[in-house]
Amino acid sequence: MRARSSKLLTILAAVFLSACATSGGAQAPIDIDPSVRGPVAGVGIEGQDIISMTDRMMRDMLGSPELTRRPVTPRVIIDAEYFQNDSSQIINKNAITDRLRVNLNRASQGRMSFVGRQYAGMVAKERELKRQGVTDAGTTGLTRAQAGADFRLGGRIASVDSRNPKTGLQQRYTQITFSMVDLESGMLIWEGIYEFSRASADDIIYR
Amino acid sequence: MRTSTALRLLALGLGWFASGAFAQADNAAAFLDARPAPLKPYFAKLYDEGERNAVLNLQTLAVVAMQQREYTIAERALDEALLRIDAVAIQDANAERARSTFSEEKVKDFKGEPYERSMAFYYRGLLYLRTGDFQNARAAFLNAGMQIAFSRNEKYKGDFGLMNLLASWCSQCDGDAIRAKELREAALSEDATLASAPALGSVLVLVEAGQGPRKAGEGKHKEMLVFQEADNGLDVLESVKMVDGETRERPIADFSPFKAGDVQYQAMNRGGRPIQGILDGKVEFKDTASAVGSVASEVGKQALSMGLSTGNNRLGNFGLAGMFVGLIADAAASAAKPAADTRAWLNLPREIYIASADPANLSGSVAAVVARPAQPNTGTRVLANAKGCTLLWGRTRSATLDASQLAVDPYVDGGRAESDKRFRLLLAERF
Repeated sequence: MRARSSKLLTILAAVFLSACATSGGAQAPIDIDPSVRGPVAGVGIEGQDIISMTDRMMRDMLGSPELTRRPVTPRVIIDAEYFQNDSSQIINKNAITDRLRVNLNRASQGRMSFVGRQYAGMVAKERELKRQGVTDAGTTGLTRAQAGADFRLGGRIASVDSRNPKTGLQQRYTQITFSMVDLESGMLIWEGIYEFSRASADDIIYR
Repeated sequence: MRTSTALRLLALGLGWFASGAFAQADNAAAFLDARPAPLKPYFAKLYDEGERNAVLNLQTLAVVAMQQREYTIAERALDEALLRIDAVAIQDANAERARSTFSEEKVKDFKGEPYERSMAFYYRGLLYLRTGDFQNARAAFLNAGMQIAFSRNEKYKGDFGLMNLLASWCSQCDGDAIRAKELREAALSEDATLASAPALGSVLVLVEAGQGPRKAGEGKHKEMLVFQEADNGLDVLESVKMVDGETRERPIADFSPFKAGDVQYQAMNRGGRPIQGILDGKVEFKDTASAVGSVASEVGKQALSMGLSTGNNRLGNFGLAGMFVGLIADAAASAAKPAADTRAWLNLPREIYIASADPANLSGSVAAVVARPAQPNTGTRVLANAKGCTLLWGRTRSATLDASQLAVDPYVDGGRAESDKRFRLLLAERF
């Protein structure tokens, strides 16, 4: 009887221990300040670079009299259509141009107005419905055409890569240029540049 | 007795349930239920083997998914794989273990050899081409070329010219003629044979031929990684024929395929791996410890024998100590694990052929490309048709693996329970 109780206790202890041994959940998500370098980093453009460069370009554009002190508020297009990725980094260019446009739109307080050319198809459909009488005219009235723009953002992401096979060190110089183009004359009325260089080496077992 | 057995079984069952294994099996079944049938074995392997083989299994899955026209799955799989390939391992516990004398190299998370990393970027580039994103496709091909630049041998450093040639085609399709010219020149400087490649127009035909490299460990302790040719893995293309996409019979055009990339060559001509020094150190330790063990045991045995026969206690004790040292050294020698990691990406091609086609031939029904001599699994499809550029892609061999290649890696690593759990949650979320 005593032996059986002892066996039972042993078995129950084993069950308890096996449950304890594997308890514990996945790591809880942690908030990371997007403006600082996170725990996972490489040699290319990262989140903190996008924040830093778009903030800098925004301040620079707001300080440009050609853009913000015109007698008539200029209409501007800021999207990724003419913002080229010529670098060796796979990147979503919208992450750069969208942040620049949103922050510029909020900070310019009417000194610039923004045309959402990426929504031209959506606008055309609604205009068609209004003009066909399928819907009424809305409350802001009809215009002869969609808004034309005075200036549009262009730019390029470029990189120069080098590697040292002996040390496994990889280095990348990244240069991001921003240009505001006059859509009538083609003149570049404002330009900005953001550049950095980074190097890293992977663990020797991966070289 | 019966009660005791029943209790044991109940306890085992309860233990299994409480351990989370039941939940994992249940979650795996639910995860696999929602996957396309032809991809289920690949998802199962990916799910079972967790983070350690994640890159390997994601890459394998991606190529099969491309063959099955499950392009979104292929894109996501390669994105996850490339995130891991690009991540710099700093203070990575598994990397540290792989360097340890008493752990095998294969305990590390798989990132692949340079030719495998290069091909991961290559396939991502093809998928970016499919969606007309020529700029990110170019970035992917540039990265593919750079992976090979890590070659230790100066002679072979950065000679995968096909990748710059494809990057050049991306620039051409993106309307950047200057960059296209630069990249073509870079491709030719890396691989002079590409000077004979056909000028690439708006239609590019890519045919992946044969079976890619295999890995093996050579040396006394399998410490030297070598790359071997797959058995019957070579397909020499005589011609590439474009046929009607629906009937796959009506001939539309013939091309002369040009061998523009050699994956086998890239694997075999890289020079030594830096980790070889560590593995050689492990071999030296193992051999030295083994020799010390043998000598100490033998000397100890002789000393003990003499001590006993002459009644010399000090000599006897010395003999016992020697035998003890021998045992310790033998144990250390047995524990040293210098074997090289031979995990390999098995559904890679051996060679990549290119051809240029006249866009006029693409009129009418969607065309397919058939390689001659045809293998049983020959099949090609239009992968991209965007912004005036068309890519036709195919393989002479199927990307699917056989049952033995799909068997779950028996290596078990208890130290990864948490990261594997996170990985499985990620899989459910991403796929």
